[in-house]
Formats: sequence, structure tokens, C-alpha cells
Amino acid sequence: MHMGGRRIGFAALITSLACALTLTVAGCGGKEPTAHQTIERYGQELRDEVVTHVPDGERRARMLMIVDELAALQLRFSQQTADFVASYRKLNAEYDTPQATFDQLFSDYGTKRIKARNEVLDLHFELASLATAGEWEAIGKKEMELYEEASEARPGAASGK
Amino acid sequence: MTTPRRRQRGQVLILLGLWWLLFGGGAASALVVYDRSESETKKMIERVVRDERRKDAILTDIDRWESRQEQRDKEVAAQREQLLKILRRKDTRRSQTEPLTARLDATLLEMDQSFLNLRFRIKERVTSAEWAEIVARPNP
Repeated sequence: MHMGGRRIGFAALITSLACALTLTVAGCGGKEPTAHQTIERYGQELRDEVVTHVPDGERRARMLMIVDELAALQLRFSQQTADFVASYRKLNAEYDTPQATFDQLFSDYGTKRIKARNEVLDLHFELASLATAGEWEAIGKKEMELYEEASEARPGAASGK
Repeated sequence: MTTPRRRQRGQVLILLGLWWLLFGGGAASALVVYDRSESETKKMIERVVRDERRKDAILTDIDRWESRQEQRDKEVAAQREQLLKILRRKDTRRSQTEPLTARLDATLLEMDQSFLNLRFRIKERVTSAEWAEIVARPNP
């Protein structure tokens, strides 16, 4: 019951944040199902690994909560990035914006990134500590696959280099 | 109307938000990917700045910045790879990640500062009217 309610709330959060993000950064018309699918897929793939490899109900439930927290964190940080890009565009459009204003904006974003990154690491270690060595073999592998996939997706296509 | 590339950026951002930007990109990286790439900036400079001397000076600045960034990108990729490698192991302790994340953060900070320095160097070489054209965004 509790998990079900949490899942519905989480899905609503994903939908609203994904729309906010695509509207803010991509300039889309609010019809971007693939954005939602992308983040859903990330959470679902990791969730599937947990469900498949962790037979113990209590540990599995805790691990699934961590997976949800990781995905929620991803959404939060993505929104922070969208806000940062929007603020930069605004300041950059002004010819006379002083460097100190940009320094502050970059510094604030850097602080948020480091905070989010540290939270991700905390969750990663919590997830690893809940798994047995055998379970971690599959779950850790999937987690790293998702990291690598994201890292490889980044350069050429997106930057237009 | 949204172009396929803009759509792609929106989708990629969500996936990358956590992994790539958290572990391998700072403010400058986010802007190069989600605001304007260096190649787009160069195209705008070439179109807007008519004075050849100033234009060449700006493009040279961007080229230098690009080659330095490429070097830093390689450093970041290597540092991130090391981090991911130790995260894969179940017996890794949280404290073992700290030297790696500290190095990554230092490199990303340098990249951010270098990006801002370039921004101000370009701005100093153009008029306010040229600047307005260079930073203008196409209508969505």
C-alpha cells in the first residue's frame, strides 16, 4: 500500500518535472513522451535488476526505494541544470553583466552539482551495502552500464562538434 | 517548431542529468551542450563580426580554448573512468571516492573559469550591438 502510493506520487513527479525540463531547455511544445520514457527506462532497468536478483522481500523493498530516490535525484538535478542554463542565458544577453555575477551563478550551480553527486554516492553505497556479493554482481553491473551509456551519449551528437 | 536536434537535447539532458553532469561535467559543459556549442558560437561570430581583424582574433581565442578544453575533457574522462571502476566493486569504501571526486571537481572548476574568461574576452572585442546579435536565440 505504502509503496503503491509512493509509486503513483513518483510517476506524477516524473511527469511534471520532465515537462518542466523539456519546456525550459529544449523549447518543446510540452509533448515529449520520450523524455519521460528515458527517465522511466533508467529507473525501470535498475528496478528490474533488483526485483530479479534480490529474493528477500524486506531488502528488496529498501533497495527499490533507493532506486526511486536515485531517479528523483536525477530529476531534481536536471531541473537545477535547466534553471542554471536559463539564468545564464538571461545574464549573457546583457552586455554589461559583471563577471562577479557569472562567478556567483557558476559557483551556486557547482555547489548544487556536488551536493547532488554526493547524495548519489551515498545512495550508491547504501544500495551496495544492502546487496549480497552475488546480487551486487548483477545490480552493480547494470548501474555502471547506465552510467557508461549516459557518458557515451554525451559528446558529438549533443554538442554538435 | 522544435527541430530534431533540440528535441534530442531535451531527451539527452534528462538521461545525462544525473550521470554525465554529476560525474563528468560542470557549468561550462552544461552550457556547451544545452545552450550553445563552440561551433555554433563560431558561426555566429563569422556572421556578425564584419571587421576581419577582430573576427580572426576572436576565432583564434575560441580555437585555443577548444584545444585546451579537449585536453581537460580527456582528463575528466580518465578520472571518471577510474571512479566508475572503483564504484563497481562492492567492497569499495565511500572514503576511497573522495580523492577522485576532489580531482574531478578541481578540473571542472578550471573548465568553468576558462569558459567565463573566454566569454569576457569575446565580449571585449565586440560592440554591444554585435553582442546582442551573437547571443540572440532563434525563435522556438
